[in-house]
Amino acid sequence: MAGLLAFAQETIVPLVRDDFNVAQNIAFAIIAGLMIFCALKMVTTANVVHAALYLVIVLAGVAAIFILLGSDFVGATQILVYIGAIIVLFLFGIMLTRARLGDDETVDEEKRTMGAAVGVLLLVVMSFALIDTFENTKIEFADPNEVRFEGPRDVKVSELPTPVVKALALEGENQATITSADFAGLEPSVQRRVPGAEVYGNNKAIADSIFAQYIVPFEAVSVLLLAALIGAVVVARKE
Amino acid sequence: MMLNQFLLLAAALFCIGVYGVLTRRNGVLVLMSIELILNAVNINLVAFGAFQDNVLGDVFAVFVIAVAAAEVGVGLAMVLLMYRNRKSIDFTEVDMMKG
Repeated sequence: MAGLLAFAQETIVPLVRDDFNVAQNIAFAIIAGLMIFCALKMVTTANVVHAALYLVIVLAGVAAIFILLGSDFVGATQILVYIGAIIVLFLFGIMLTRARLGDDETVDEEKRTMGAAVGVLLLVVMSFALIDTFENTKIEFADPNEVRFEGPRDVKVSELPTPVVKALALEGENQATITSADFAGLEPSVQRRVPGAEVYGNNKAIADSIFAQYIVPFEAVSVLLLAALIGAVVVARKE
Repeated sequence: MMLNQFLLLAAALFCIGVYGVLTRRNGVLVLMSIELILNAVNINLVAFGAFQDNVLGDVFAVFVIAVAAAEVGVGLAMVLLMYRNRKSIDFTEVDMMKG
């Protein structure tokens, strides 16, 4: 009991403390509760079409979680690929196989008990490992409007915006070099106006990463998709 | 936000997916449960990416989504083939490979 109280104090109290993303945590609680409820309904409902519709809610919840984590690109991809394409594929699969709508499942009790036991055991082990390892580790979100600058950079003073010239005290000079140290000392509003500075968002970083460092896996995925496309046609076509 | 709240949510979804794979007999529903598991993994990847403040988690999540799409395509084609040959998509009746 005392341990439970201490756990609640350590984990739940920080969640409701007012300087700690209250809005995001409330949104997370609503989304997570809905997702788990719908996931449970999905694996237990007897109606196959209802299961597909519950899956839509879970997938939309996953997209919302991605957006909550600041990964809007992955969230948009999730909605487009999963809700737009995969669910439609599932619904076609359900309709083409005419899986007795309404009363699909008559799972025997023993199998259900064993499945539940495995699931609960897995959850207990994983939860214990996670709570033991990460305890109260917080996610510190980076500023999405952070301005980056690759210095040093040679500039003509006459082409600089006035606030930058004033802030760097370059009046009267012709040619100047802006170093990273100079840039770091500027006000954020002035930083944006320095030539070569850019707001380095998440999406840009993802694009840089995929098309530079991970170009080979990217091409491999395109070949994989082509192979899957041809494979699906070959497997499913009539003789 | 805490890192753990995302990881625990993903763990719960993963276990529900495992339960679905183990108990469902309809082939399409088994594939849906596998999607649930893959999504749980994606939540983990993106949460760790946000925690480490880099985009590798996002990049890998996008790759996982692409591979999942390919998997569903081939999986449903196989379920369809099975239905055509046996007039049933009950996975408990699949015993062609049994020795």
